[in-house]
Amino acid sequence: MKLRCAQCHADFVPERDEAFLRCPYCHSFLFLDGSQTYKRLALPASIPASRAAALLRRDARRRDLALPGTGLQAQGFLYPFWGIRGTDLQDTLPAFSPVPFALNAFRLPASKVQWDTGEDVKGFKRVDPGETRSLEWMDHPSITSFSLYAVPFYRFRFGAADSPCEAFVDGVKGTVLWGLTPPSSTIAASRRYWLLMLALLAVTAGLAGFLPGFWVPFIAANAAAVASYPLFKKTFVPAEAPK
Amino acid sequence: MKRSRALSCPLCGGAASAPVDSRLTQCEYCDRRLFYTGDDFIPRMVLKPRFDETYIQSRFFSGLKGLLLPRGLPSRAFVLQKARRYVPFYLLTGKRGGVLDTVKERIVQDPSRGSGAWDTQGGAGMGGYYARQQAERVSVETTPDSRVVLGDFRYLYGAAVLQDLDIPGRELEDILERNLDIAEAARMQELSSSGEIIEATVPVKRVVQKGVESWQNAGEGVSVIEMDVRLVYVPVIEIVFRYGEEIYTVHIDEIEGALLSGHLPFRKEWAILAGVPLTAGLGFIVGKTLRSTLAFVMASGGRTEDTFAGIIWVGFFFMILLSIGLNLAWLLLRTPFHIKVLPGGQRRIAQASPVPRGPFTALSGFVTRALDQAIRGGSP
Repeated sequence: MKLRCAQCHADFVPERDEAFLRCPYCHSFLFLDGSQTYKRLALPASIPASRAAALLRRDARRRDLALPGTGLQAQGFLYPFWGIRGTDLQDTLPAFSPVPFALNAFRLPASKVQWDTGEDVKGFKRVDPGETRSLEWMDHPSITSFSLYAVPFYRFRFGAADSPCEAFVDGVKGTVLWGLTPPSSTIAASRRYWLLMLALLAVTAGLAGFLPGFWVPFIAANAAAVASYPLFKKTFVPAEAPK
Repeated sequence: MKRSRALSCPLCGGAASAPVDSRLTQCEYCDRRLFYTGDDFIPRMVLKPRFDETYIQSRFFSGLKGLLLPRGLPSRAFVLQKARRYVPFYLLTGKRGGVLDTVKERIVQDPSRGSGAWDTQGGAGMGGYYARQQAERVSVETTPDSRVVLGDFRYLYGAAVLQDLDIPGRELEDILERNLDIAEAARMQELSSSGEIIEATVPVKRVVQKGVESWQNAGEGVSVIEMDVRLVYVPVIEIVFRYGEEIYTVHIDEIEGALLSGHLPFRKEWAILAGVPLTAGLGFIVGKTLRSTLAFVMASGGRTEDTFAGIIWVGFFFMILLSIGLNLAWLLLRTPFHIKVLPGGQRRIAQASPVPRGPFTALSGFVTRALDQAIRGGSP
């Protein structure tokens, strides 16, 4: 990163990421306009795509969310985030737009940092920083330092084409961040449901087999179905969200 | 930030940031007022949100009620985020016109034609005679001409790709079209503090080129005389909520207050209501078939070949019935359904992700293959 002194027009490279600098040539004090100059850093990915998929599956199982059995494809992205520091604040803000809900509350992890040369990183597509994303804080008087971080993420999309479910796995620490989730897979509830279904089948088959005629066993089978409904419904109570 | 813009104050040489919402700016060092004359500046406008928080909240919660949605969803939905997004559109206005090649028509009477004979057969009398005489003598003469046409145009184009956001661009464009008269100059700093401004990622050059080409193709000789390009932002509220471990979203437009899009949980009781009678019906058929088989075996009187064949067929019938019927009852429950909210608040049941394998999937596969073999007579 090169800067030009506003006083003597000399080019120089700043040593630190600070808003206020001193020109090494004419010693005049300079203010670094953030819209023009900032330090670019990158967090190197430490998690491969296959591990990210395994982490996502583990988290989905824990939450009982339905994931497709096969074809879960990871797409690598390098998302830009502003790391801002001020007199009384330290924050991470997405520098791109639109921001998926899953990445809105993301905070920069404590990790190894390297200079971002702007070169392509294998397996990751670079997302450009947005022009309007820094307007909110750029002129804030208390902000003294800011840097742009390229953070690796794996994006997983699956489900319906017009409204896909979305999840991100942070490529540095492996944190799973959910966007739109699939509905609950009801694995635990469906085992009980399955037993009930077999029991109902046996009862109605027994009624139809032992009772003579058509209407008497038919009415009895229907009565059994109506009587078992509350039991079936109860199997789903744990799957429903608490109030 | 896709292109570098190194600007400096012409008086003090201090670095100046590129103007975003107004050509008029001020040097941060010497306070001199500057006017940016670059061609890449696009004026920005915004439709201000017309509804307060209470209305949006009531609109959201009223959208969580319905026969297809879980009972008590409004009280069980935990709102995780309520964020405003400003969706950008390009507004192209101006004048188009040109010189159109036309044809001037003139009706002439030919004295050499027309006999003036009486129309004796038609019985039209004197009127028929004169009409016929007139038709025969008159002809239309055309001469090349030209005409100057001039008119205003106004077009809207999406300035960002909204596919990832599940916001219907077409509906939002219609809302903007209907409310364009209330658009006002945007103060970007203010907008950014009240919501996320979605980046206009569609290059303006491509929009202008596409627009101009289509207009010129539509009318020969008509060209764009002058054109202004503006960016107009439409506010949309995105509400993200949690229901159990599941996360759902709803988008509400803040100009007309309509539900634009979203996803809601499906009431699983409907799947149970369908699955329980199906299972009971299957049990009834199984019981009745068993009874009939027993009666058949008793009636066969020890003819073992017939009895064996009967049992084989009944067993095969059972397998078909159980595998297909129970699999269906199972899948009714296991299919991850959700409710998709369509523009205008309409809803439809949709499958959110692939259906997991049921316990009878392998059996139904086997039965289907066996049936296929039987129908084809053993040939592959």
